[in-house]
Amino acid sequence: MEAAGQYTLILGVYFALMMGLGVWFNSRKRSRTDYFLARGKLGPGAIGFSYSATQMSGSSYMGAIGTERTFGYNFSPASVSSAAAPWFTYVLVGDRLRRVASRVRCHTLVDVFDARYYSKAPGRWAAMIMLLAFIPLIAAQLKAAGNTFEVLLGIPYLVALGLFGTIVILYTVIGGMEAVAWTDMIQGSIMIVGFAVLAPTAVIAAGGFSEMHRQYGEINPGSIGLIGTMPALWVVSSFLVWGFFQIGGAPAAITRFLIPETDSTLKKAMVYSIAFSSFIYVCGTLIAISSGVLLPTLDRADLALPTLIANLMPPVLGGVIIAAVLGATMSTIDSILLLAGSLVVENLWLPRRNSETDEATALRVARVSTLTIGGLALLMAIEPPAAIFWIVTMSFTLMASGFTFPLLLGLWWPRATRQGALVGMLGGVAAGVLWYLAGYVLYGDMNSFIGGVWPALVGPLVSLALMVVVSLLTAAPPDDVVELFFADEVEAVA
Amino acid sequence: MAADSNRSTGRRVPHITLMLMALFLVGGSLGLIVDWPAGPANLDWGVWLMVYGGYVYVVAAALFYVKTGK
Repeated sequence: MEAAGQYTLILGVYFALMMGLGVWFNSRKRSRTDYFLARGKLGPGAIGFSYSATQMSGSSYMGAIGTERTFGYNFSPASVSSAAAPWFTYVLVGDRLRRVASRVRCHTLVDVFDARYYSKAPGRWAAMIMLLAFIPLIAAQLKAAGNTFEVLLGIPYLVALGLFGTIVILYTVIGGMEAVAWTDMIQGSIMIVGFAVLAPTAVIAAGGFSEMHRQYGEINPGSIGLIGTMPALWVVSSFLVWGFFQIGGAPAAITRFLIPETDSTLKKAMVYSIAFSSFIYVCGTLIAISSGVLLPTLDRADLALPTLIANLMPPVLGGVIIAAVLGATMSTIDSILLLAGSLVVENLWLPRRNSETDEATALRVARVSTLTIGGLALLMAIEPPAAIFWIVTMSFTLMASGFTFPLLLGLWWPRATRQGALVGMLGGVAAGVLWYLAGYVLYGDMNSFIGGVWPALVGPLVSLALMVVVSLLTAAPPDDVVELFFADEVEAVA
Repeated sequence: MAADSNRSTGRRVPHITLMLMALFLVGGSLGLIVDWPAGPANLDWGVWLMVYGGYVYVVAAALFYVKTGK
């Protein structure tokens, strides 16, 4: 059998298994809470893998490896920081969010904003910002998958896009959160095995660890150290952005904190998540550097990973690794689609209904909205505006700028007010967008930033300043809200 | 049971972990702009310390938090 036939067979079996899981979990669920959160039904392994698989996405495998191949170790601090993201988010947000979710009915972060900021306005704006950011984010994942199919199966990009997009959107609509989290764990396990095989194989093919770096340094002399190809501020701000600011930049992943019912489950999930992320990013760096040596003339960086797999791996093994990569892509898409469906139903549709709505109707609306948003992303992926990594970065900037400090200060600072959160959210998003535009005006490129400072750093810092100032200038939050969110301090003191 | 664990333990601020986070962000940022000497395997010591050492730091710090809650 030809290589393309073997890839097709393996991927066909893989997707059939995932669809089967979706159907099986669908037969078990009874309510919207089951569909969106599966609260209390998942163990730490499933939650931890699910967080990381959602956070890392197809962009980590296709886009980030391609970017790291180009910028070398100038980009690696961003990878280290990404591996640290679960640490920041679990410790600073996870436990507090889980406790709040045990007291307030929450399906999404917007529910948390509604309760914390005693108004629907911050939550509605948050929902709109997320929906706006989700469509290109999903489109970037679909592009990653389409590129993979294009290289390995030799089928046209648009056919690949339609095939993969239909499978993953239907799978999410059918399955819900429990199916998503369990398949995330399966996909995470495949990713570990796949990268554990590919990374050493690629390093050996490039002449071994030391020789690979010598050759890479000759080809890209500015990229063999921490700074060189890119300016210091670019490297430092990418390091800051991709770890800490995932607190706000990855709301689909943060939804995982609403699942566990106990503190110990959450902590174990964090260990799974960080160990998994660190392993994958170390392997990713080695794969990226080796691809710079082995594929020095490749003109589309996004194709580095699938091309390396096609060149180095036997098709059966390559098919398994590609299943892992597509697993990451699928994981991100289904998590985002679930959150998008939840936002439309819980935060935009249900609040406008005057009469009681039964569970079956609400679940149907959730599925239709999930299908619609997925379809829009599929349309956008037909003619994507930039390379995968930079599309993801734009979406990430919007969300990191809008949500990091309204969420963080909302959980840690009793004085944070509704007005402060709203101004911080909108001001942060505006600052991030303006920083992008300023770079474009000055350099004619959306991916060149003033002084090398990433917009995803500027937006959140403006948001922080605005939120603190406006909160201090406006009336303190009502006592019942403070009691609800900060009751533990009261109990601890008592 | 779960509800009990949510209600009874109070909320502790993990001071040491917060300091480790600050060290990661501030120390990491400063470490990136240092001119590091050459190290083994055709890499400078900055890459070894800030990239490969960075992963070790994060995993160790997370385990510390899980074990101690501090």
